[in-house]
Amino acid sequence: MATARAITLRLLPWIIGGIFIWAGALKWMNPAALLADIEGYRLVPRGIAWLGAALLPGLELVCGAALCTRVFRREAALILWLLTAVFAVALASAWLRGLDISCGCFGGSGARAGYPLLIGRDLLLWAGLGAIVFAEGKSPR
Amino acid sequence: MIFTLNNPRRRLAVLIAATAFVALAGILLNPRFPAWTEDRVAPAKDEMALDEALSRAGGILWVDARPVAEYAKGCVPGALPLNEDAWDALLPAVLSAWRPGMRIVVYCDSRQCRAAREVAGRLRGETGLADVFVLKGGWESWQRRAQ
Repeated sequence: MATARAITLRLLPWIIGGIFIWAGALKWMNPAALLADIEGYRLVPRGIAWLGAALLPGLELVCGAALCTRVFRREAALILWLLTAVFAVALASAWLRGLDISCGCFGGSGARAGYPLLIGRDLLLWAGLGAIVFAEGKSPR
Repeated sequence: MIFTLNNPRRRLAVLIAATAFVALAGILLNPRFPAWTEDRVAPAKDEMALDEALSRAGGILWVDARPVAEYAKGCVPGALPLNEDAWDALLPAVLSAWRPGMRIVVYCDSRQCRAAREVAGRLRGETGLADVFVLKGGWESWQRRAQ
């Protein structure tokens, strides 16, 4: 049991890091779609959405890669943990308001999954990142 | 003084700086990076700006891709409803209203909603009509014009 837990905690940063690198790369390649998706949540004005479209791909790429390193792992996991929490709240808000949105999770592909699936997937990532933050906080540097 | 990464704040600062660098690279180097203001964004190939649609007046068939309940609350004058939920029931009225030479302009709530694009795509695919466009800015742009 302890071995399985140790293996999981070893693999988790790489898996989640890879997911964010992929998501960040897709967003970086299609910023206009990302901007449209952020605006679709109707939470921020266009200027803030534009800044989000500028920063989000970089944040995911950098922190995704940093998760795969020992030096930056905890800080990267913390940033992404907060990001996924914000994203879950945004999704829940859009769901409550009955908005027809494209998630924007992976490059503004236009793919619309149901809200429960989107929020569930996000919470799964959030839990995994939380486990990394906690595990890294306990291990000596 | 040797710069070390023992301090969590320094590590955070490095991550934030790297993020800013990548963001700047995206803004400066990516030709597809969108403009700051929407006005400077030209309509996409399958889009039509409201000004152009209004200038064509009689040659436009308006199609409302929003849920019928939203359509009933208010729509572009003369618009016909057509959405994926009641496609088979609503399509005949749209096809009856269409005349050769007319351009079909489909709209939904705003620039961000996908329904208009999906309805427009399906219209092109199923009917063979080529002159089907999505209203840039959607119903919101009409309402802003009306205010």
